[in-house]
Amino acid sequence: MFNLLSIASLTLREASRRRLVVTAAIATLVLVALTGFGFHALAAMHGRDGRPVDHHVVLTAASGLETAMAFMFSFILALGAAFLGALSLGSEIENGTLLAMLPRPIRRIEVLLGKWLGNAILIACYAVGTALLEFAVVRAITGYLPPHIVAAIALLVAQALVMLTITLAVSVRLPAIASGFVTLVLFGIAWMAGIVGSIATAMHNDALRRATTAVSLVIPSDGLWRAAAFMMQPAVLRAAAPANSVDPLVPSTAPPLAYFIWCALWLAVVLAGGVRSFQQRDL
Amino acid sequence: MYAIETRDLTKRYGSRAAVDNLTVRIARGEVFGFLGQNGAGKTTAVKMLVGLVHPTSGDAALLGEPLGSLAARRKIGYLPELFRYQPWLTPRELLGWHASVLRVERRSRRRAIDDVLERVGLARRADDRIGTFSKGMQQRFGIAVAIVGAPELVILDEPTSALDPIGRAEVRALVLDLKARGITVFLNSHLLTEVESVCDSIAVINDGRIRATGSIDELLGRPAVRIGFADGSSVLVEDAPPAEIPAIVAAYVGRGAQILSVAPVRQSLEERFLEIVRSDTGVQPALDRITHAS
Repeated sequence: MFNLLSIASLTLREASRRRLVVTAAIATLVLVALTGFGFHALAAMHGRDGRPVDHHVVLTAASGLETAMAFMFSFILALGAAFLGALSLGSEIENGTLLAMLPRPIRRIEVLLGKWLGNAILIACYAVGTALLEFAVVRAITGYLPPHIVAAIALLVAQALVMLTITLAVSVRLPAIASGFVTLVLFGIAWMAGIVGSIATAMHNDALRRATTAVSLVIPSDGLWRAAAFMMQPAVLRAAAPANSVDPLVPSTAPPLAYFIWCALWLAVVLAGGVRSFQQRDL
Repeated sequence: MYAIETRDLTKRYGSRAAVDNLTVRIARGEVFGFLGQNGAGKTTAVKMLVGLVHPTSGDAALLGEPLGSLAARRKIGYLPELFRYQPWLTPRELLGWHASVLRVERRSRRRAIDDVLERVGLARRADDRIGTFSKGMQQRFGIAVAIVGAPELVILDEPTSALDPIGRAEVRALVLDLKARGITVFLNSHLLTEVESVCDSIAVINDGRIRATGSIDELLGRPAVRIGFADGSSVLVEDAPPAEIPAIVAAYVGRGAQILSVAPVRQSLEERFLEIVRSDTGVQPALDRITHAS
């Protein structure tokens, strides 16, 4: 455990020394400031009669916009996770940094899990910090706060961890750039499969629905996003949403508990596969 | 117990054997030179010893511990041929990580780090970022990493490839210092004069197979002495123990001979290496062809 934590600590220190933390903090402040300006404009809107728009309309619009922002944020997190994961292990294998570390009395499982843990902490801190700041700013400007924000943030982090896990497992064998690319392609496939699956459900096409369900089990990122979006929906919108919504921003149902148990198992299995592959690899 | 003992250690990539039935025994406290052309299998063999490459077959023990085991890796230090260290850390920080993984006691860690940095001439740069170092300084730092934590076996893969002549001389002195401390050194190099000057024994590898092995004397033969006289003639004294040479020279002087020079004569390691490789492959190494052509 000591070695695992020491690798995680090195990963966090690298993020700090390479100015990743500072850059992410500045980018977040800029993002929140810009969106805050947008929400301020929304809250200050006037109708054709020159009177301020009804507060309920502002709240409804704010909830939709905030879900759209969360969607964009989930993409940033997924991209960031793929980027961090690829650079973390793949580039250290490529450039030879690990050649001086692995002959030490340290197991490869400790190296891979240490890097996973360090990057997971980075992603979680970034996601929690940015989301809470954004929610607070929108709440202060419009008075709107999505329900179940803790669950929503946790699901967004879980989606990013799926991406991080895929990237780390793949980067054990592929070059950094290729593993990042593979992860993004898989993310895109899962997203498309989610939309196609909704259409298949609406059209009662069972074969297609089963195929897309299989994709969402193999790459659970989109299912986790839909769960996060569902958690952010106010009760009014949930009631008004069509029974078989194909809109990824307005899912009609949340995945069952079994799906989340599956996701936890999936993470463990993919990580174990990555570790096994890493242990067998010649460097 | 040997520092390194390998039995038929083999690494195959497809049908090609990078290392083929490597069997060597290296005594503790010895400086061992591992020679070979580029691509001969030296680095693959070294990587198997430190657990970076998995052998296809065969077995080995380092300091009595199984190859690749944590117990073996706890006792060795390694400088890779292609070295790269975290550029965003300082030497003190990265050596601190290595010392902590080696379970060097916290209270003696700083002293151990200062000591190795002093020995490689980087004491004044202990708190600068490694990324600001020249290639040669990074290689010196790599040697510091290899010797931190009091290893019993130090494996150096081309330790002077990025160093200037002064740096090379310092590394030679460092290797001899390690030997004086009883530490076994495995020196992987194709710089033959370097190997000849510090190694007790040598193995020559070509196409993945050991072609010759033994002590320097065994490989090069005992040195002879050529005595040159004032009239231009000379005598080659062979197979005489070095301690008897002064008496032989004195005997000539006693008989009235005018001696101009007494010079040791021995085949150089470079000549012997070329001879082994040439007889093995039937192909003259490129460097040798150029030397003779010029």
